[in-house]
Amino acid sequence: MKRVLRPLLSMRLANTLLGILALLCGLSSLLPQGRELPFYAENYPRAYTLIYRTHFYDVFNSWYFALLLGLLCLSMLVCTANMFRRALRNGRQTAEEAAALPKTEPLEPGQLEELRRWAASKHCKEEQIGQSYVFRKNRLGYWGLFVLHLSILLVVAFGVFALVLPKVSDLDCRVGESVELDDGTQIAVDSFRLYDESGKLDYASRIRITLPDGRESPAQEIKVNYPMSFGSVKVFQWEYGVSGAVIASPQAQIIAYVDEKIEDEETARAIGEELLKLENVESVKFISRREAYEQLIQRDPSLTEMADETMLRHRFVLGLKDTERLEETLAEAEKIPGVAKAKGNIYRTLDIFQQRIDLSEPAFLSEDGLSGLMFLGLYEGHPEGKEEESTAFYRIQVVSDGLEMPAVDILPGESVSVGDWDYVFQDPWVTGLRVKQMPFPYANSLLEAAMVLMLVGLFLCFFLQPVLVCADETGYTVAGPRPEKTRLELRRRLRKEAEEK
Amino acid sequence: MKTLFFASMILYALALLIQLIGILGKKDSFKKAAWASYLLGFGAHLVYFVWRGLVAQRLPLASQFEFACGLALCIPVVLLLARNRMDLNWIAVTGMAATALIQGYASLQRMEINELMPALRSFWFTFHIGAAALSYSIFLVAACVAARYVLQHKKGEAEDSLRMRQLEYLSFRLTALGYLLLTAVIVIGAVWAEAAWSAYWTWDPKEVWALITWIIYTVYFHQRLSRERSGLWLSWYVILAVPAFLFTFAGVNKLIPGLHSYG
Repeated sequence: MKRVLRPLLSMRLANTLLGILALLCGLSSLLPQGRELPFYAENYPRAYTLIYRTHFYDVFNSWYFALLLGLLCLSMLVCTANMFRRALRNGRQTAEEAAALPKTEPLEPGQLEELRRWAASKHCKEEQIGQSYVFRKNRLGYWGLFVLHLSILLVVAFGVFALVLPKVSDLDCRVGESVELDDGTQIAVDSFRLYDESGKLDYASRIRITLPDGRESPAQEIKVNYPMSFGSVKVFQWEYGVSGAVIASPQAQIIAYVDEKIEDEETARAIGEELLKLENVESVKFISRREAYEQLIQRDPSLTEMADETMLRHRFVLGLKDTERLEETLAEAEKIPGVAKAKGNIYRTLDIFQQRIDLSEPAFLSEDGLSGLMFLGLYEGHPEGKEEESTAFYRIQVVSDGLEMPAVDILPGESVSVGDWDYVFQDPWVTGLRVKQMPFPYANSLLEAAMVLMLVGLFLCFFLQPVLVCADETGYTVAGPRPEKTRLELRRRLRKEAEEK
Repeated sequence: MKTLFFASMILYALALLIQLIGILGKKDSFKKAAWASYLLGFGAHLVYFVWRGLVAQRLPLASQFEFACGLALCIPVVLLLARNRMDLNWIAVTGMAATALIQGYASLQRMEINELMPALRSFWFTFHIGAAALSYSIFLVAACVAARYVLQHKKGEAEDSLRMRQLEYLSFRLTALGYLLLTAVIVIGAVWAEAAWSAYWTWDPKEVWALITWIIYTVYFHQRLSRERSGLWLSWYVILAVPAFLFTFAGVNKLIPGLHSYG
């Protein structure tokens, strides 16, 4: 066993491994790391085969890097065990044992008193054993190297866990909508802002997290450097962008589809006004699902087969707190894909007659092509003359009776009427969230504790060096693992004292 | 206020020149004048740095210019603290040269005061960048002390003389302090990276080069601890390690794009 372990204890081996790792790190800087292979084939056609065969495109995830790191850790593990043994032995060294050490440096008559004064000035503990004196302090310093190496091992171990275990995904989400992770966790974005109160760029989203077990977090603002943790999920404000959307709806009456059991139109209207925040609620017609179903078939008989499914997908679902049907309504609503929880227990999707147009479509024109909208662009910033109002705006061109009007800038929330249609321009901000799911939530705390321990170890090593001096009338010796500082200080002090005499 | 910055640069260069003349001509009055010029330069530099911080309402270490300016400012601080420990004649020459050169490098960078980008607006900013500037300046002064050791060795002074041992020990102590701070920079950076980028370590070029620098100094401590190497060897090592952290500071930002490319 000793024969196996001895080479691992060698500092030369540790230095060699460190040197090779540093060299590999340096070489890795010559080439962008971790890109897709075609990138290297395209940009480095001559060296591509070499890059591919040596895994040089991703040095830090290569087998040889892992092997070197593993060997280094093994060497460190053996050294740490050895350091523990040494620290224990040094720490246990009794004053009697220290006093018995041979005195290597001579002392002139009277210099012992100077040495004692030096020791007192350094707050060393003094013990007299027979004719000898033992001065010591900073016994904790014996543990410095051990603590340092142990903490580095822990940092590597927990660091590997922290890098490998979490599942990280980047998601884009529009304001007012929510995204669902594979495990059923839902993240809803209530609002997004680009600038803070003082006008500095400081993008932030107000989000809520709902865990698969139903626990829901209070809404919290996240921004760069300030993520939100809830359960084993951590959500980071990652990026932001704009993606235009317009809701087009016919100028006919807005229709809200209500659960057919709410047949009292007054109640439905009150709900619409109070909870759904429908504007101009008097012009909203509330009809039952059955009525809507019939209307749909009437409008387009070919939809008959699809009607049931369509009815489920496009409607308002109204539910009231503390009603008998609440559970049933909620359960039903949650089954519908794309339904966003808007407020309280109200779920809503787009009206059946509304059509959402994404900006990827350059135009939304009537069938004859004579009226509608043409999208010229979506811009970050302020339209001229509306500096205070928004941080993004749409530029559109209205087509009316075949005529193309001059381009106009429209702010999110504004609407335009063309022909028989109303177009409401949506908030274009899309927030980019990074979601980190940690199977072991305490892994981060453990890693951070190991890092702090590393700093403590370094401090013990370099700035809490143990002092052990044994002296008698004839001479003194400086013992301990790192006696250099004490030796230099004592020499200087005694020499100065001799010169003064 | 820019005048103060350029004045400090000129005063540092002047101090270097006078100190050299003082040492070569063995004139103490020149050395005193050199220190006076150096301290005056430091005063002007400090006022400029504080003014910039007040205007920017943050620690002015966010851009290449600001970091170089802060790094150059730390060198006189470290030299002044080390001055009590020993005679700084030649150490001061190299220290003054380093200060003037880094100020010169700073003067080549864009000097405008920019608002911090959201990623840099963090509690950790001051500690991470401040510790980095301090760490690099301490490494530089350690290299200046090591250069003095090499010079004395060339003059024929024995390696086991008390002065040589003190020089080597001072270089080691400074390197140890710089190393502790560099470790703190990496640790704080990792904690900050987790809050900002979701991962403690992303193998970003700046991180990789900070690690390389850390490894280089780790090998130094191993070599010193093993007592296999002479003071001369160790001193040369400390001098030759300087390009590693200088590259981490300036080279990476200029040559290798990454998450730390802030300007």
